[in-house]
Amino acid sequence: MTESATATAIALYLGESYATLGVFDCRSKTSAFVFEKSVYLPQTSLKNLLAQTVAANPELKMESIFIVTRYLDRLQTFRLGGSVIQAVPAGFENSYSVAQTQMQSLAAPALILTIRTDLDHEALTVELTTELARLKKVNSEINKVVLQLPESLFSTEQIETVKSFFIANNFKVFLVPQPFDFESVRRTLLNAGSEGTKDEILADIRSALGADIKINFWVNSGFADEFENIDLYFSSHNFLHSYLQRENLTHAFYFDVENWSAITIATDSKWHSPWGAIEFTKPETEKFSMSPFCELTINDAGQVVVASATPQFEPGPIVAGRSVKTLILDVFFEELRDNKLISSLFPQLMSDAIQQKVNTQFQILQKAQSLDLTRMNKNDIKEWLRFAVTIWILKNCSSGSARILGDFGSFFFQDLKKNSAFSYSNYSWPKEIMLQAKQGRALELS
Amino acid sequence: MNFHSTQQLLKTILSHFSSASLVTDDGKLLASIDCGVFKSTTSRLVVFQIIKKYLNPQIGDLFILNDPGNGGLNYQNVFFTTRLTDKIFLVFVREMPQIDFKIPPTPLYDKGLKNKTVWPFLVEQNPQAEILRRFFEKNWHDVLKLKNLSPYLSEISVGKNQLAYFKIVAQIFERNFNTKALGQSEVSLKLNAADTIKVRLAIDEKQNQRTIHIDFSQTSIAGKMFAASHVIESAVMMAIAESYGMCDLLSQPLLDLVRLTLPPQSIVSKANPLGTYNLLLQKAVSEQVLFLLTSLAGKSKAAPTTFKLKPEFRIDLELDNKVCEIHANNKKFVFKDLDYLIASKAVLPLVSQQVDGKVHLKLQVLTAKPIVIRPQLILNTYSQEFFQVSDAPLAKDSVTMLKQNEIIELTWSLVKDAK
Repeated sequence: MTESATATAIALYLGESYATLGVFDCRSKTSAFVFEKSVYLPQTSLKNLLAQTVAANPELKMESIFIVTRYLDRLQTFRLGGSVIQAVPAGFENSYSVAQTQMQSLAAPALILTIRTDLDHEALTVELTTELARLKKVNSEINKVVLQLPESLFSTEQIETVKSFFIANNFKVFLVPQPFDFESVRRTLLNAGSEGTKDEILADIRSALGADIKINFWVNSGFADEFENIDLYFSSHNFLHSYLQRENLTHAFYFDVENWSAITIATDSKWHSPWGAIEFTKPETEKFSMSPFCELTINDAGQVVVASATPQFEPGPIVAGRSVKTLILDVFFEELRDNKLISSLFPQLMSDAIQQKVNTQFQILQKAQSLDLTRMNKNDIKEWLRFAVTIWILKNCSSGSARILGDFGSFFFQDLKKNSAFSYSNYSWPKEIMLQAKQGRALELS
Repeated sequence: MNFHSTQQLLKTILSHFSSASLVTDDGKLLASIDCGVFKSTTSRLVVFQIIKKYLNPQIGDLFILNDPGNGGLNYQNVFFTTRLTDKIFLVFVREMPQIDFKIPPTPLYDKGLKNKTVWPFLVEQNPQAEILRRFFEKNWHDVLKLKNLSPYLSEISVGKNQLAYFKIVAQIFERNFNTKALGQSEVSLKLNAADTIKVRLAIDEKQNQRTIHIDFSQTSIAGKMFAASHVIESAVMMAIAESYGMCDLLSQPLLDLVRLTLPPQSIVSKANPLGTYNLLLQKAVSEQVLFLLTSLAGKSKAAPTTFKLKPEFRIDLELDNKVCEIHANNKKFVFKDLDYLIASKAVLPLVSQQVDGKVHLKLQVLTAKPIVIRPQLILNTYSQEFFQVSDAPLAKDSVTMLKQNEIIELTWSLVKDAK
């Protein structure tokens, strides 16, 4: 890597619902950005964000982009594998799901391709041709295949025939390293099922910044341009884990507009994913029971409660200007308005109409609560949320030293100030990403 | 602290456990969680009373018990009792399959330190010392994790705060009660030729007094199968809480409204010294009560018209001191540690498929070490052949030892769209 080749770069944090970036000069010793911008993804796409960044800085040639992401978290509520063929021997259809049938699906049952063990090259090719034609009628856009073909059942030639057939038909082939090990099967299926989302991100970046842009994702303990897709599920966790190591902390509690979670210095060797267990070393994390995108609603007993439904980013909070549902995020209207990042995510936040709408919604919510002794207004809900977060933090950090981070960090830190185990930092993703990118570059140059 | 904060605090403390209760020093249930296979809300209250009366725990103490004749469920489910504040106790249950001996009420930790008399006998001299040490230390560590919350719990301990909390819980229950039907209904279940459980449910409101009466007085006298009354009551309470949307608020006001009639020495009120049929009878009774509540309150198209136990089984597979639980009902099939058994080459999968809601698993034993199969619960399975060992149905009431190269085969149907 030459010095000039990486002069101007982008530090991008790509969350599930928002993206925030800063453009910086790698050679500069200051930590200031040349340009900064944040967008709410349901309203402005990543591609547009990057295009706007380029348009605002016509004199700069972006050479690299450094990304920390939790964008793939949005896949955790989905069944994956809609365009993935699962090639298996008879008797191993959906084998990965048998240990726990209630987990999310990683492969479409209609796209299972049972491979016979008794066919030679020619017969196998004929059968594959017929089967592929059948599967294309199920989904004409299938373009990935996971081969779960044990060497004890198939010859090397047979496996090679299947592999070559799919490569020749423009499929991306994912080979399960240990076909009888179902954790290995899940991991490979997950890599295949996430490929489309990763490709979309890469396509957006290349389309806005050019095909030559160097794309680096944070995986494990540094930026890398080669990785498994599964690594992207832990990009932000691992980035925060490195922060804990650098800062000599045991816990971090992170609160931004979409994610309230805890991360510890300890690691797990197994990921209990929504699709089943996968052997994968990752930091220990825990999500707070409520997401800022959860809806506040009234239950049968007339109490205000946080809805148990999976939070949705569309249409978003009232503060984003489009929703009619009251979300936890809307409780923090005043805090949001005072926050630089958030006020740029939700530009409508400053309008009187939005303020009026938020107030009206909470008045309706207050009136709808029919049990006098439990009735809460907006401020009561806010205080209750702070209390809930405070005791959750205290329960999760009975020893060690912890830092509270994120846009709502200062709000939730208020009740913990007197406890010496806790500190607060005004954490900024783009700034931290830039620092790590510069450090990595310095190491590389030295 | 207002109602919402109190509720949040109780929920946060209990979220750490699958079966646990917070109990006041005068024995009132403040909060309960019962997500385990066994239900044990009432059992935990019984255990609390025994430990409080005879051992009077102080803050920093931890007592254990697993005796099914003394409030316990079976040897594998250990009840832990500790004092969190002057006036609040925590009782929780954790399963340890390697414990196959009776533990009477025993002090495990005294003032934060391992009990020097008990620990060597109970743990260090046990052939499974390391497993037991990790188990007990982990549970103690989980108690310690709650110490930061003690100041908040002390606030709930104040009498008037407790009263205020219970008053609101009672009001919420009243609202939920008013949305459901009143009336009476009964159902019988023949367990075998001699044993029948007959449950009569009566829900009534007179002069603003609400009662739910569960009457087992026509149930058979204990024959082969029987369980202690607290075991049955725990299952009944959870079924009622579930039906009235009170699982998150299961506490004293709800217990006070439910009246149970359990005839002495009957199937539902005689403690089994090993707890052999506790799980089976809990499942049976809770399905009966849920059936009655659904058919009485619902009268909807979805409400079942005839009672039939749902298919369910739990079978433990033991290898190298590791217990792998296989559990299935009509909605799910779970084989814990199947991945481990395959990865460690203890078994080889010959078939492992899930097609159209049907699970089919065929495993060949590779290891020369003994694999033990222990049926824990087999309830109205689809067929006798759902679990086969070398082409013969699994023995339901005894332990089976698997030998190298033997083949086990499971076939199980799930209700479509249950996923």
